[in-house]
Amino acid sequence: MNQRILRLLQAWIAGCAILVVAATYYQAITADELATSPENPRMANLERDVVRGSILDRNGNVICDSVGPGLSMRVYRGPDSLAPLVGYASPILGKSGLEAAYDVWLSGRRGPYDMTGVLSTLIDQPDYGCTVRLTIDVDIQKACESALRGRRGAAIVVDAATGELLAVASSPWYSMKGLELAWDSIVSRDDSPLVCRATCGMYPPGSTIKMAVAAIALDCGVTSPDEIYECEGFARAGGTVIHDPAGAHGRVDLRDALSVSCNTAFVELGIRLGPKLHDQLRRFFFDRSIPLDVPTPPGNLKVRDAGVSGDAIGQLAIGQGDLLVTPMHVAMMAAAVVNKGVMMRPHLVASVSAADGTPVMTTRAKALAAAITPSSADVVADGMIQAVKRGTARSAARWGYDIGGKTGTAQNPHGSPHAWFAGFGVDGSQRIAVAIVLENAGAGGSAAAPLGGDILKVALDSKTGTGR
Amino acid sequence: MMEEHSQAPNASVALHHARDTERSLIGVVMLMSLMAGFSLSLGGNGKLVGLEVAYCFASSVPFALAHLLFAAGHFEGDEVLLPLVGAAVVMGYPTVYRLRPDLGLRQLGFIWLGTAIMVLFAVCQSRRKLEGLGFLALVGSIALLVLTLIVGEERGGARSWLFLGDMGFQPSEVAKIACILAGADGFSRLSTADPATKTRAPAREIWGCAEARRAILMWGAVVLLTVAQRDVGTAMVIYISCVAMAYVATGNRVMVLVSAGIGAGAVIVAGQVFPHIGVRFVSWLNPWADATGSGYQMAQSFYALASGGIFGRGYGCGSPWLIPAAVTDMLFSASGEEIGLAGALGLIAIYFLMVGHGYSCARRAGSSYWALGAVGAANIVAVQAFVIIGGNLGVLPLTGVTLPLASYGGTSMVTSLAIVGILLGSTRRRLAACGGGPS
Repeated sequence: MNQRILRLLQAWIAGCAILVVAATYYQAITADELATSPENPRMANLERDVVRGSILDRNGNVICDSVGPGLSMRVYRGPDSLAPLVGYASPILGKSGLEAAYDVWLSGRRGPYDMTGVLSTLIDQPDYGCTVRLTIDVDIQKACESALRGRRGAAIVVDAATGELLAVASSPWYSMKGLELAWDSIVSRDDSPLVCRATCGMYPPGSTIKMAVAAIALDCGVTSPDEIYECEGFARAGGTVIHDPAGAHGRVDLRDALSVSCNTAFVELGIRLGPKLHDQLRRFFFDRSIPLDVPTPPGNLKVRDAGVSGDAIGQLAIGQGDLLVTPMHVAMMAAAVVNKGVMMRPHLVASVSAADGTPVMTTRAKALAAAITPSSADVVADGMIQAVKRGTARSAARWGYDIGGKTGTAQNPHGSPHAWFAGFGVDGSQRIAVAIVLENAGAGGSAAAPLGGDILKVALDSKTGTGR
Repeated sequence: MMEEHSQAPNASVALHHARDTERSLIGVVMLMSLMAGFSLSLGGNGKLVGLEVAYCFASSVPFALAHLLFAAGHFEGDEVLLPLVGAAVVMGYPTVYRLRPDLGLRQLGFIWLGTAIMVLFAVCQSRRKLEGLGFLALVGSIALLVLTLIVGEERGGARSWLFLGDMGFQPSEVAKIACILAGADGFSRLSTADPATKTRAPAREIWGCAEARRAILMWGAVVLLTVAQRDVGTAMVIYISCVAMAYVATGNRVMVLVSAGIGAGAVIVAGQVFPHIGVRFVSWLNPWADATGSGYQMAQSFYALASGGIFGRGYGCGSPWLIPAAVTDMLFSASGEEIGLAGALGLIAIYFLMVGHGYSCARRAGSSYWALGAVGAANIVAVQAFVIIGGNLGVLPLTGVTLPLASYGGTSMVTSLAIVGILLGSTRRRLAACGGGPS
């Protein structure tokens, strides 16, 4: 019989081993996910007791903080044009934007406060969520805000060398004060103030796409920087005739074509590239979303295997047709041009730290894609500098600043064209890229370029970024 | 209180000494209870010394007294089991107190009463006073179970409560004790129950033994009556424990297989007949499919376990009350939130050692009656702990049984302590004492 008792003992050992494995699995291996799940009722209780972490700009200016425990104590202090990006954290409305994306840190669900239950009870102080420091520079953001005031549109400024977003402005904006009360009227507004247009607005890129088309044509070897195009003021693409609104440009090389935004030359390049144009534009993420700390929509470029009509290629080469991208796509395209062809991964959050300053997480600069070869990027940049010196983007020029840019006037079904300016400013090792779009504001050269120049001047003056 | 009646001439001197191992280990248990009390007090009101310390310490005191009684009465049972039992009680009590301070004093009363009954059972069992009483106990239990079916009251889906005035208790719990005693009585008559033998008894031989046959039939009656009360969890614990006990006594593998088949079939039938059991099965397979409805209890259990993490949130700093039935069925998960994986593994280790050591003692027991008594008692603790911890962890479908020795509940606590009393009393090694008894 003793031998059979041994069998029971063995079964019991196996049973306990199962329990040990299961307990370890739920309490150690998968614990983090479940413990910080918003469905976990502890999280709602925690939210009530914890002072939600602050959101700061890159220089420590407070954008958003809490004056006490609980979501109702949230106070938004930052520039209004940043509100659509930062979003809200409200006991009634829930959370959106960065407040939602960084909720686990801001709420203190994750971070060094995780396990201080007994200690915090002893000290008898409320817990604090983590502080999130953005890459945004409030001064540059305010420059964007004054450029956009009273208009509908977006402006986005990025440090091309690191991918840090320095300003993400969206207009119209809404007032965070009394958001809950005004909610119904805000939601029913036609101009969608809740949408962060800079990261989520979808626009035809217009002529700003020409920097990408020029770079692709150079990289694919269908043209050279010295080739001369004969512009007669119109070009035929499939069954469509595309005109140059300014008339015939005469003999232009690629830099001139960028400078004067010559449709004829770019339709020609598009036809030479053929279906390859669709394929190569994917390097600029026009068919997907650019990864960011908050969700962003993908560009709607559709890559077709064959049977792309000449009409469609001609339209695509000048940024018309059915292509829609976000202002961030355009800004990152300009950033790649000025950063020797390398598109850095854009980011909004510089670091996360505990309320006492202990660093928890720091974002490092990472390359996202080598969109253009360095030599082609230089040619395109030259063309854009020329555009600011004596081309369509002249009104972006500022005395004493090295600025390049490309304008766009995007036809759209909603009325007057959208005015675009995408450009960059260089000061020593500092490389700042900007994209600004004004909805239904007319020509990019007259409506958007001067504002782009103003923003770049402020950004270069602030010495923000790697030039510091 | 106790006298040593059978002074065997060849008794080793060490056995009559003051149970030093047990004393040291009980010291550790008392220290554990103090630490739990300090932690509970700190987490609850921020003061190091509060009422909680006294309550928690009071949960360990009866075990110290039991030890003193054992030492004074020259009790010859094992010295490691009592501290392990104390540890399980001391680990469970702070969570019960922390969840329901209003029940703290009641639970303390159950622990003290249960410990007294444990000592009683241990001493009686070690003197073979309980031998032959198993069938009587079983008849009484069956009578109570039938009475419960007629006049019992329903609590938590099971019609398993019998009330005498305000005092309620569950006869199905008491029936566990009777099943162990009757099984030890009936099956120790078989030749295959001899500790040294390796032979197996065929079904004909088992059925031919009147006592064994009676035990089997009455076990069946208890299980059926418990199922009829819709207390399927307890029925399952009794069924599996008894089959395992019969296997040890007979070595009949066919019987085990047939029993397993009957059990599996019964579970399937029960799933059809009792809708609440079918729901339990569905929510076991995927608790997240209906996390706000049928899977709610399991989802809350997982949240609590996950929130505890490795080191736990500390007593008084978690929210274990969010789990339904936290003080009874879900005590393991509830304490898992505050004592963490470290504490949960400790709790599992206590049951592991208690049952494992119980089986080891059964192998060295002085007679087949004691060996079977120890096996039966260890089986009940093992199966019930596995079923409910496994249920809390999602390894098994959740059944409404308590975590023995730890969960809140009068009948459960007293019965569990009585059962470990039988285990303690069955660990006497000397054959010389077998024939002994009061002169």
